[in-house]
Amino acid sequence: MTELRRWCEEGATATELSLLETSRREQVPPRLRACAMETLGLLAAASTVATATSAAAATGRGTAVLLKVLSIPVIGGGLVAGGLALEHAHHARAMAPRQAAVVASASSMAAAHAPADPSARVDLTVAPASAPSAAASTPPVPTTSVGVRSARTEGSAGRLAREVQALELAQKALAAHNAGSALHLLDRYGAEFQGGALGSEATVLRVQALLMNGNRSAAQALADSYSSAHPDSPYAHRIQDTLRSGH
Amino acid sequence: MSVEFALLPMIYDREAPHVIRLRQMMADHLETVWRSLRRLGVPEAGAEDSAQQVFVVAARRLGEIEIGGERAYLLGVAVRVASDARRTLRRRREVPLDPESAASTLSLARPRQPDEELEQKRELALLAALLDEMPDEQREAFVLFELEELSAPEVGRVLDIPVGTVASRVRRAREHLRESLVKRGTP
Repeated sequence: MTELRRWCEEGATATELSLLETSRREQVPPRLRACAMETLGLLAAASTVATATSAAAATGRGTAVLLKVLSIPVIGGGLVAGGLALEHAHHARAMAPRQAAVVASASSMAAAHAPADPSARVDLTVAPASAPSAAASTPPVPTTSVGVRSARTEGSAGRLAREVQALELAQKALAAHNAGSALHLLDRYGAEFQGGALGSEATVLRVQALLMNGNRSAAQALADSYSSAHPDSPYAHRIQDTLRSGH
Repeated sequence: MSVEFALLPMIYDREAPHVIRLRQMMADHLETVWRSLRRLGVPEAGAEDSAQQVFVVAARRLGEIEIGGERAYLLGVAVRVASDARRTLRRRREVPLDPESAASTLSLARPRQPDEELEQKRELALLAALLDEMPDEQREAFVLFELEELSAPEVGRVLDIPVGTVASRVRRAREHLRESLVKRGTP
């Protein structure tokens, strides 16, 4: 048996190739796209969690459904993604069991959505940026080849992807109790993404890193500065909780 | 899509970067997930819920998903979700497989002339009918390799089969599709 190549290289007819191409060109219904756009739009608009949280409070019923779906417990008014945290240390290749997801139907709530402007199209297929390898507690996993992904001008989604990657590296360094690396990575994040969408997350990580490094006074100063600038942000409470617990 | 998708960005916690990663996966791969579910036989009426189901599974298994391997992972979950959906469909027999409906809400990347759009709809309906006639295992390999363009080793990992089996299934699927086209007089 020879190595499998794409059908276009192995004698597909024009009709067959046309069918394949038609499938690849098909896009999701506008309503579904609009919802994804709304998700991205919310992120861009709500770079502080305060906005997002007040929006969540306004749609509390939906939040409750989501929390149920994602098995996220609500503890003391704060959200703790227990399910996600538990998965963090796991790196098995096994796929999800078939019965894993029991999704609560919320189609009746779909009407609550104000449809986003479908013309405001954002590139949703930006390839992930390569992760910096220096100072990472674990080396980045090589990107696998998954078809032809053309390089495109980076949009908000691409920038966000890089922000997420940068903070993930810092978080991994923290998880490995490498506070110095974490601070270095957070410095790099701050330099590269001034006014970034995840600035609050970065502040929380920095407070944790400073505490881990034994620099409690700097952690306290940063926490106070953040709290005075964002008095209503849940992050301020979280940071103070972090200081109280000492790690 | 139901309201959960829009609420995802509102969940912040100590693992916020991971929650954000999930959101990014949704932004990057929503179309892939939706399209593959449809090609794998999930009826249009259930495709949105199934797409959500795929991302819920991904949320629960986020730590297992390699950086850069998100698309292949999501496709693997989509294969399983679609398999369940097909089984439910066959058991209930309430909503017959209807190739004609496959393209009923087709939307295209750019504005097209009506006749061109019509041709797109016709081709998608034809493709849906051809895929419905394939054995499931051939269909899954064909969709992942030819339509979603995973590599053969990736398809093998997703379906948990050897690469040689991937090749044989894809080739049998091609033959199946070609014969079905000839029978319809549209080779």
